Amino acid sequence: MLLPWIHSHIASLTIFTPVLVALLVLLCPSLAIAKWVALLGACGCFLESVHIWHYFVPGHGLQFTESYPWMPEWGIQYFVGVDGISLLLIMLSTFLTCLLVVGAWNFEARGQKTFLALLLFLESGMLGALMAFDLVFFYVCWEIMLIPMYFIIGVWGGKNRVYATTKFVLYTVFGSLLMLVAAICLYLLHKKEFGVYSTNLLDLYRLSGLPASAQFWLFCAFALAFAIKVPLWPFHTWLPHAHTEAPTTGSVILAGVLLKMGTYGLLRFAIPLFPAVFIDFAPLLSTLGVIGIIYGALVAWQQPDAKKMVAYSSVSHLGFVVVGSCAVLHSMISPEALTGAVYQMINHGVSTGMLFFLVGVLYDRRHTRMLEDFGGLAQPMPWFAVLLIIATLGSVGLPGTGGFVGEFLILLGTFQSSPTIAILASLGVLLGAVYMLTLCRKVLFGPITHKENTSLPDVTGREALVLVPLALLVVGMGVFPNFFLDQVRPSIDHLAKTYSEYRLERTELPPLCCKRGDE
Amino acid sequence: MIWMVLAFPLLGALLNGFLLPRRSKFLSHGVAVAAVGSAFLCACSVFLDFFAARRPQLHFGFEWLRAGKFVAPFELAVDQLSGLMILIITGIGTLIHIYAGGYMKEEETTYRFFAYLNLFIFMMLLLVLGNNLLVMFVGWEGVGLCSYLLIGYWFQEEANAKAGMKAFLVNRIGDIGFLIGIFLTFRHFGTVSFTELSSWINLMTTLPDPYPKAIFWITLSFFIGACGKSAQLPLYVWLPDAMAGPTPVSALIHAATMVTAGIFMMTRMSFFYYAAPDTMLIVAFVGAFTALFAATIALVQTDIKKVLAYSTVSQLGYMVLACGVGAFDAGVFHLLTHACFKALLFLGAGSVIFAMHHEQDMRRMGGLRKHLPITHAVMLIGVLAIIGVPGFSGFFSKDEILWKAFIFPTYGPILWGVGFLAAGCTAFYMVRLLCLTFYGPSYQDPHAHHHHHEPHETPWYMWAPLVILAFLSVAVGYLGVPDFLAHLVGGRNLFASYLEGLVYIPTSARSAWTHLHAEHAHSLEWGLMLTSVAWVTLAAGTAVFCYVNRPVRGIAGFLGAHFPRVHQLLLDKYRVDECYQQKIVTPLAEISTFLWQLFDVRILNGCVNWVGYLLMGTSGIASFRMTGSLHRYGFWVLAGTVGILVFSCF
Amino acid sequence: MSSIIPIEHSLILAFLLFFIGAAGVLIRRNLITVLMSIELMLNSANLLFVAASRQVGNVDGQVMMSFVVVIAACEAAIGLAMVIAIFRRYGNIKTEFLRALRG
Repeated sequence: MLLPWIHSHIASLTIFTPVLVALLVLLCPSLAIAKWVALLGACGCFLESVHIWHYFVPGHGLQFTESYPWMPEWGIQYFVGVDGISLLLIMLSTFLTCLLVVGAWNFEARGQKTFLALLLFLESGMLGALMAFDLVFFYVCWEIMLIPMYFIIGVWGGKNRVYATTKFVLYTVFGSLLMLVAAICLYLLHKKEFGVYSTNLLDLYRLSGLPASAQFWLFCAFALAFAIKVPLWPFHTWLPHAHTEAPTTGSVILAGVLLKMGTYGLLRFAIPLFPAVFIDFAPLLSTLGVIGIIYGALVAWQQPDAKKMVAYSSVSHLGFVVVGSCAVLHSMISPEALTGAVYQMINHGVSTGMLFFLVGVLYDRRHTRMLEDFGGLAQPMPWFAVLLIIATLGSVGLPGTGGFVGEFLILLGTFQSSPTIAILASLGVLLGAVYMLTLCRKVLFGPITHKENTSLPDVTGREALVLVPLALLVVGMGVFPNFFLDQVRPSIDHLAKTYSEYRLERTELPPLCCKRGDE
Repeated sequence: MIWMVLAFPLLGALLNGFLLPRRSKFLSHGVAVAAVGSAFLCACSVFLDFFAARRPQLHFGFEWLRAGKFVAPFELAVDQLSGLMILIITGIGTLIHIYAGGYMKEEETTYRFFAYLNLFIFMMLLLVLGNNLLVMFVGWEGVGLCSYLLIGYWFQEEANAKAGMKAFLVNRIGDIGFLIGIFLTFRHFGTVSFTELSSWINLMTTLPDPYPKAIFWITLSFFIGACGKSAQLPLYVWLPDAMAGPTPVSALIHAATMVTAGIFMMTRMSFFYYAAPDTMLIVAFVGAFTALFAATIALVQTDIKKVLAYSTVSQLGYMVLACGVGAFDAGVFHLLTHACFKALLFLGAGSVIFAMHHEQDMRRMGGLRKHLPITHAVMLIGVLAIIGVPGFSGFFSKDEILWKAFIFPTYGPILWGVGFLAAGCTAFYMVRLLCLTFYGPSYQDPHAHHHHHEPHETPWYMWAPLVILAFLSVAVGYLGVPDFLAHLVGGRNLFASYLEGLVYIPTSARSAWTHLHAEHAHSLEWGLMLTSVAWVTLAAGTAVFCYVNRPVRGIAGFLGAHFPRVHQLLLDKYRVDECYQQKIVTPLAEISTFLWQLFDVRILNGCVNWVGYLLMGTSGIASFRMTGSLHRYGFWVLAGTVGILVFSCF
Repeated sequence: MSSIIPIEHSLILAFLLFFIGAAGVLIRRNLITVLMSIELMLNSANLLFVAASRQVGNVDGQVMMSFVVVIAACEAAIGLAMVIAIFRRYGNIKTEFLRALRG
């Protein structure tokens, strides 16, 4: 009896499990229990997302939908569902949260219970934003994500944390308030065209009679909100501060999932809602993306601080995602590039998350992140060296890692629409190797220049528990990309081919007993 | 069976890297040798199967990547070229693995070394076996990665780590060329499978333009890739530095296998190259000039491995020249013979270095013939092979290339001349190397007190591979005896006929390449051959005259003293590295610092903060009533309430 | 019914109490006194409720009054807790030290 009920409410369960567990964590009498509760909760949420993955039927549009009236007099619903574009990101969020709870296990700071609760709360926000198909619910989740992040950086961050977190929140809110205005505008336009109020995204996709000037401004507002979140050059200045000041967990979740919200929003909202303006803006966006790729890589190269280097590398990597999303070719987006963009979001989450975690491992031992304080660490910490090299390779996109598949597909698709952009972007592949190998060399190789480094302990079991799954994922995503892509390919192709009159259909709940692939 | 060829080295790498206990050097060595050895046996079996069937065999693994219209299966192809290559890789690889056990005996972390080495064999096999550009590219970058890890194997030295990084980055420049080639290919043909591409090219006969511009760009992009991997001008700079790695690595990766990947790749796509004569001319010239350029640098180097490294660059230049003039079979043949004799030379040099306790400077060697008789004998064979003494393998392969260059219709004699000069240089510096190391008085280093022992011959498992390689360096040559010589005994060029069917000229491009199959006067071929033999003998004789018993002094010293600038220029390797550093790397680093410290922090971040300050300033003006005093707030609340009440009452 | 106190008396008392409370809030510098003054203002409101309820013959006002008493109790509890917290932090409970909200 229970299983069918779970099956039919799996989307909501996945969204709300973490927040309920977060409350439990706060109520726990002791920290030891709280940690286990948090871990169980995160793992439970991950299992729920595995359930979604397992029963997801590729090519069946929007699945696992649930809708309940929320504010019916205004046409606002609670409406969630899963499709191919969000599926991988959902998996990534739940997976990373599990690892992060383990990662924050011995987080030696006050208020660890609160910290774990905030982390789980954040997970709910992310999952809600990823599954929301109602504009208002999306907006609520989008803003809810900010609150835990504000505290995670502001309370447990580094020396300059208040400045960093204030900047992060204000910058992001600035963009999202514009988005709110645009959303309200869209809502009114829907009333004008169809005579009813609705914030249901599937209804809004049907809007056809938007005046060109209105589309222009609406697109600008949405795109700006997402561009700040991505962050697209030149809106990236909050990122290095936020990353350097955030605790390791915060950096991982920020790079791993939160940044993807920007590119996800671009794919989910900005492109299909305003296709006509998007065509005009695509060259601009991909130019900014390319600038970001090269600029981020160049700036990362000379950073003395390992974490800042990884932070700027995010600007570069997400530039690839934006370029891939904007490869417009003959009134369709290049499906190769779009697939690459979706895949690259996941890769970046995994490999950069891993890099941030590795930097955290160093910081825990030496309480510094300056490259000049390290060198020759491959000798005392051989397993750390192996893991750092794997993460580096994933980040530079070496074939056999997921990064290659993503970058290759993006460049391949972009080359078909605009060779210049693709060639410039492929410079980023070279520059990426420049700064990442510099990082590796300065940390791992050469003679040991500081006495403290000679006896650093290698990766502990708990750290390995976090890092090894990530390393396996980096390699696995490169060796078996089709395992991941088969699930999501139809949705991506559908968006790529029909984005100018994008329709998404709700489908029946996939039957519980039927194995996927039988269709 | 083909999957076993791939599986064994990968298994060996995983066992050594992650699974096995790490204490026992014997175990890690044994596992590594067993892995490559089994791969070699499987490769023999695969090759024999193919040889019996004489038809290319495709092995479909699984669909690796599909997105939009792009499909890349994980598919392997065994044909003439890859069948030969897997034999070279696993065969020579096995010998070098056996040798490495002795060479790396004093190391603490041999498991790491052998894990990398086995991984390299796996990646290289992937490179040659892949039936589409993407699988090939996986191997292509994979071998680059292993090369990076192995060059930096002794990572405690900053210089080694930097050399590894340089190799990786310079290769990456080439890889971008390769990538762009893939993009262009996909754009114009919609596929990346070699089988499909070659049939496409054949279909192109009906096109009005037999040499489309697109093919030119495709081939040029791939050639950039080849330049990076095969160390051609202007991307050769990483190879000499790569000598920082252990010597077996130099033998396997930087002489016998990985660096020839560029030639392999161009041969794999010979159908494209034949359809792009413009690219071919560029390829031929780059190859010829690299051959000469590197050979001149090798003339004056004193580090034994550096000489061999520049020699490798130069020999690779010959192979590229062969590709450029359309003689892909000659190029691959030279690849084969070079793999044998250059691996031999490197391992021989390794034995010398090993015996001299990691001394690499040839000026501190000499007279080693007495101490290392076996090494001396095999090195002599290797030198005779590389300089092209008749009867040794280098003679057959190099002369074939020079001949094909000579009959090339555009600038043929010039290309031949450049190659001819380089051949002389090769003879000179190789004989010089031999003389400085093995002959003459033995050099006693007054500062080296730790050399308690005389240099002594290496153990059997180190010289046995050398002997096998020495045998191959002679024997392999007879597979490719040029037709005009083979006809004397009623045979023919076995190697060329073996490769027939793989290297073929698309019908659309036949007219440009008629010379390859035209009849030429045998007297001309004889004449060229004798000239080059005479020239090589002359150069080798000069070197003997200069260096036996007169190390560094004598005529060479005289030339060095009278042309100091030329000498210095050669010693400084034409200052190419410095030029790259000064013109490219430093400015980029400056731009980077500028972008970060000024543009990013001051301007972009400044703008954002300025908005914040502006708002804060405005709010400061607007908030003058916010005194923070509770009483005052209370008073205003009360006053307001009363005011409203009064206002509403009246 | 004639023996009851006229509504005017209660009104005047309530007004007086209210203004004494308000004056206390505005003038006194001690937080405890300020809290007590607030209680005084609440009680004046309660008095009005009860008086009005009696006048109209409706128990709504008395219900409201009991709500207010409960809330006032909560408010006093929280207020005193805050006063203690402030005392712990600043070492005294004078209002002029609490000016963190100054613009």
